[in-house]
Formats: sequence, C-alpha cells, structure tokens
Amino acid sequence: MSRTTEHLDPFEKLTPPAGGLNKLRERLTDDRSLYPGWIIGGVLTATILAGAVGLSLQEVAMPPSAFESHLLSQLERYEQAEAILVVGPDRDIASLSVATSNPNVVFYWLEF
Amino acid sequence: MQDSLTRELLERLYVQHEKALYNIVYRWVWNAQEAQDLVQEGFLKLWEARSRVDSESVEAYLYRVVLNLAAKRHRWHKLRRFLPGITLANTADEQEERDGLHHLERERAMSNIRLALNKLPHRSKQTLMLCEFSEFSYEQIAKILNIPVGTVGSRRTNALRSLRFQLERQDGNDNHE
Repeated sequence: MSRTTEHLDPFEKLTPPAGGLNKLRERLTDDRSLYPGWIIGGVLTATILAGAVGLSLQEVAMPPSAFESHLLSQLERYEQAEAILVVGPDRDIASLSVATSNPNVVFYWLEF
Repeated sequence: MQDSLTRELLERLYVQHEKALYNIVYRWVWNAQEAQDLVQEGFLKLWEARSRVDSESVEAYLYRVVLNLAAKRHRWHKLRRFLPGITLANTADEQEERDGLHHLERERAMSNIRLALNKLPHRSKQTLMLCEFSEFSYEQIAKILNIPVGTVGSRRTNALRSLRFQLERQDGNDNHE
C-alpha cells in the first residue's frame, strides 16, 4: 500500500490480552453500585457552582476509581451535549470559565 | 430474550466474539487493555439488559452496544487532550512492542494507519470494521447498523478507498521528509 505501511496490515487480527473470560466473570459479580454519600456531597457543590455561573449543570462527585466507569455510563444520557468538562478541585475556577462559553456543556466535578 | 440469556450462554458468546469485538474496538482506542475493558463493558450491558433483548437480536445488540462504547471512549480521548491535569490511561501500544519489525519503523507505520483510520467518517469506520473483523454477512451488519444492505457494501468500498488514499498521501509526505 505504501513504503512505510507495506509491512503492516490495517486489519491485522490482534489477540486480546489473556484472561478475558475470568476477568468478565469477576466483573459480573462485582458490586457496581455507585457511592451515594459522595454523590450527595457533590450535588450540594454542584448546585452552588451552577448558581454561580448560570450553567445547566450535571454533577457527580466520587472516588477516582469509580469515576471513569460512571462517566461512561453517564455519556449515554448526554448524547446531545456538545462537550463534557471534567475538573479537579484545584482547577475548578479556570475550567468554569471555559464552560461558560458553551451553554450545552455537561459539567463533572471530580473530587479526590 | 426473556430469561433465556444464562451466564453460560453469555460466556459462550464472549468466547465466540471476544476477538472480533476486541479488534474492532482497538481501532478506536488503540490500547490493548482499554479495548478489552470496553468489550467486557459491552457484555456487562448485555447482561444487565438481558430481559429486554430478544434472542434473535442478541448479537446485533451486543455489537451495537460495543460500537457505541468505542465511539464514546474515542470522543472522551479527544476531550481529554484539553484536560492536562487528569491522569491519563497508558496509551502505549503494547502490541507494537512485541512485534519483530524495527520499532521505529513500525511505530511510524502504525501511526500512519491510526491517522488514516481515525480520519474515516464514523459510520464508514463502523461499517468497515464490522466487515473486516466480525465475519458477519452484509445482511447481519445491516441489521446491527440499522441501514439497508446495499449501504453496507457502498460504505465499505468508500471507506477502503478513503483509507488507501490517506495512507498513500501520508507515505508521500514521509518520503518527502
């Protein structure tokens, strides 16, 4: 196809990392519930921030370990959002200034 | 699929489709562990939705969910570039390290392939990946993507043409450097 790519097939069939089935079994038995305490605290924070910047705000606060899977599940609910902003507690103000330029931003507060 | 999707059947589906789904998702996230995690997330979602998924549609449902997860993760990766403070997952391509070709040459070639595949329109890429990796018929792929059967073939042809064009152009750029 080309000199630099002739050795590689774009559709080369790669082998998944080993142990996938066992990992799936473990995940099927995991408790996937969220963390109500963190969320209640986060909602209070979010309400204050939303009022301050006039955003339509959806907010979640939880331990980082649970954050990514939760964020992905939430993405399904916000198909129409133009952007998703994730901030940590040490850069909230700067990030909010970005968010205010787009009324459709979905805003997550990541608490450590 | 009223209560007919058992754990045993789910695991059988996993063994049957893991490699195809992994290869499809990998072309969105370009990371081995992340691709496997997303495939598993698709199976978890199928398990959670088992009471609502008809047995005739279980594979189509599974592929649709995984394709959506891959697209969303890809979007998330693009957004992460603007969030330097967030801890990023390791995006090193472990597969490259294991290959026998000279590392730098392979890295450059893989980078060209990534760029070319990432430039494909989303729907074309979905169609092409399903055609190349799933071993489904055009009819089955049409059902997964909810498009006419004829569109599968035309999208695949256009995607391959676009991919070839991108790779040849990148190769031209490389040779001029």
